[in-house]
Amino acid sequence: MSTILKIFVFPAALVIMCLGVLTILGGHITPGGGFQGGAMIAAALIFCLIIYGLKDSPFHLSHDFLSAVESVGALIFVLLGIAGLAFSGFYLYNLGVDIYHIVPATIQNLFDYPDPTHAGIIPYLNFAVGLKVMVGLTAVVIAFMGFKEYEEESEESEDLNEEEVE
Amino acid sequence: MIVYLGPTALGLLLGFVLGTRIKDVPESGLKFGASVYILFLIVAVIVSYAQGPFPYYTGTPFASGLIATAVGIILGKLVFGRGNTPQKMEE
Amino acid sequence: MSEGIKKLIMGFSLFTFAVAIFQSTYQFKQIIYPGISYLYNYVGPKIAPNMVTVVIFDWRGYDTLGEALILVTAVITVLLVFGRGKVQLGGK
Repeated sequence: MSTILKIFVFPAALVIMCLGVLTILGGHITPGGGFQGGAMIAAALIFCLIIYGLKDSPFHLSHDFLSAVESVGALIFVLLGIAGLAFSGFYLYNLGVDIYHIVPATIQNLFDYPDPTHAGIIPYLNFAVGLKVMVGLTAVVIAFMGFKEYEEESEESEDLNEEEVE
Repeated sequence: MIVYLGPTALGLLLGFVLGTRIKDVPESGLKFGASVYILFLIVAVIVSYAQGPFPYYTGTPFASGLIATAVGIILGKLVFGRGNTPQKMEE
Repeated sequence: MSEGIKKLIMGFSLFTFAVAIFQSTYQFKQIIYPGISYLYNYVGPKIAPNMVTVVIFDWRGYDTLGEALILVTAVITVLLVFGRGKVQLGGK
């Protein structure tokens, strides 16, 4: 890849990531939301991966990080649902705006989003879904580009171990 | 000039998570010094003024979520920034 | 099973399915019960301005949970198929 691309891509990827986060944050007012914003952030990460290659990319995404962030995103979604089940009778009940008025006022103020619209738990669900999508798409692209380049060091050590065993 | 807590806090959190992953690879020819991040901050401020109050909040004339994310990325790099690639096997 | 019995069973099930579909599309308007959605169309814009996001995450939040589960399953399947024998990416 030419030098102009290598100079330009890193700041451009940072700005694209900021725009993706903005799309996630305004999900309950403007068109957008968790899935779309997560795809934008993944596009910025994949941009860096393609231009610089898998080893020299400035965003270092190890396997532990990818699996941890995806699990955290899914867990936040599920645990918000269980919180709705515990405090009222319904799974994924919107505790910030309770339509049926069955939740005491302290819990409603706890789960409310501090915002002029007071949308309840909807922005937190957007955040969790955004985390999941961003990490999932990047993991698939890394799998396609091949884990093999990271494996050269451990392949050498495996060959040494096999020689010792034999 | 009210800055709402919700978008700012979530933007800081997400930027921090993204910023912890920036590392420097010393063996390739690339080096991103401090000037790149200052330029990124200036561009982020310009873009936030161009966006206006992003999802129709009426507090401030700039998009507070974008500036919070930029600050979060830089904070994440400063706190958890990595030196070398951690895949070098120590022998 | 011989060929004749297979063809008989196939024809019978196709006939039943076709009758069911045509019957339901012929009287489709009486089958839909519009009752509960009128309530949510009144309450929904008070929660947040974007009605699409409100319906996805509040009225049909359970389906979005299923969508998130599909994303996890797809990523796991791709990593399983394309990462065979190469599990140790940066784990050490």
